[in-house]
Amino acid sequence: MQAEVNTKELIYLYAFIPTQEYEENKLTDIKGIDPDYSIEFYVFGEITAVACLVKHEDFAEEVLQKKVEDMKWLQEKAYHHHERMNTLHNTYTVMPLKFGTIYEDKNRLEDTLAEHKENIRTVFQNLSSKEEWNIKIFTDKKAFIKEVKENSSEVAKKVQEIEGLSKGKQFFEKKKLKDFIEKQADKEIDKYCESIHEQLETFSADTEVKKNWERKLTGRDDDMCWNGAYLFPKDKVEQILQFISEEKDKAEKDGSSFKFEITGPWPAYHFSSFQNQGGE
Amino acid sequence: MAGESLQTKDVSLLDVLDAVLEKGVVLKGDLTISIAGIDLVYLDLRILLASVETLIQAQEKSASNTVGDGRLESRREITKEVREEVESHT
Repeated sequence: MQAEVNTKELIYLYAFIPTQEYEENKLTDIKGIDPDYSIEFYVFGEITAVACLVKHEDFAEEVLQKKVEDMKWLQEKAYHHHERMNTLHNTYTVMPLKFGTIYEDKNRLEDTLAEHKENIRTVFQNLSSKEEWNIKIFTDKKAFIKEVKENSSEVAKKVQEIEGLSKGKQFFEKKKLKDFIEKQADKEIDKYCESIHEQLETFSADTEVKKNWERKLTGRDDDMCWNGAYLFPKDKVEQILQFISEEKDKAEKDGSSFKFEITGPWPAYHFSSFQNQGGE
Repeated sequence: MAGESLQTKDVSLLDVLDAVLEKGVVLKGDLTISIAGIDLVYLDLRILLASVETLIQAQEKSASNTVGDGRLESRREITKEVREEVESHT
């Protein structure tokens, strides 16, 4: 058995879809992540796995680690993964899996499916008629700090306090003031983003707060201060986009530097974990 | 607008990577990957290992039924290392 492992193809797994939806509308002839193979649909009871055969020379664990360092390769394959997911997402309730989910053979895949059947079924239910959106908020932090320094009542209060102190104490407190202002600015930025998030939460079936990206990553000249993934019911999306657009206008009118970036709908990449249902 | 999924042209590489990679996009100071002369993505490549973990976990399970498989033993070691690495980065 072990001797055969390296001569067989591996299975690259894209997603799980409900078999019933697949039976109603069978997509065919889709080129796989390895262009020598087409995408296949493996039916395991009520769950269908969408997969494609791949060669060891490209996707064996140790090879894959090297390959992803080649940015061109990674870009091509990551886009492929995403495009195929969109194709599936347009037709089915899709539970997208992450790039590079690979199984050695069908039996192992079947074992995993058998083990997580209930969770996968729950995810299908949770994802049905919903879509993922990503909402990022940006602000020019430097400008924001300046604004806080000049206009915050908290800062004004602090300055007054300091003026009442002895000369020696004033010296140290003034040194700490810069820190205080920055913290105050952070607090206000968080407060704003969280208030938006809380309102979005009321529309959402699920949310995930993600890490902010640094400027080096975004290439923007302002700072990301919120990065959230949201699972919205499809029939609420229009209302939500309207809400964001109003918040955008409000921010602009108030002369604040908050900017929004909305992308979607996405396949529900952030809400498709079947390994830790109820575990988190 | 709602209904049709986003096509590739509408989202940045970064957005796609952040969505499809297990740990999203992670900044790593000493590793700069550039495309077409633009420093675009700083990637912690260990993120991918976490995806492959699914496979290894499945193997670990079956390994308990397979006595004396040296390859699986060494993989298990790697997984442990990777897990520690990933955890120390998150």
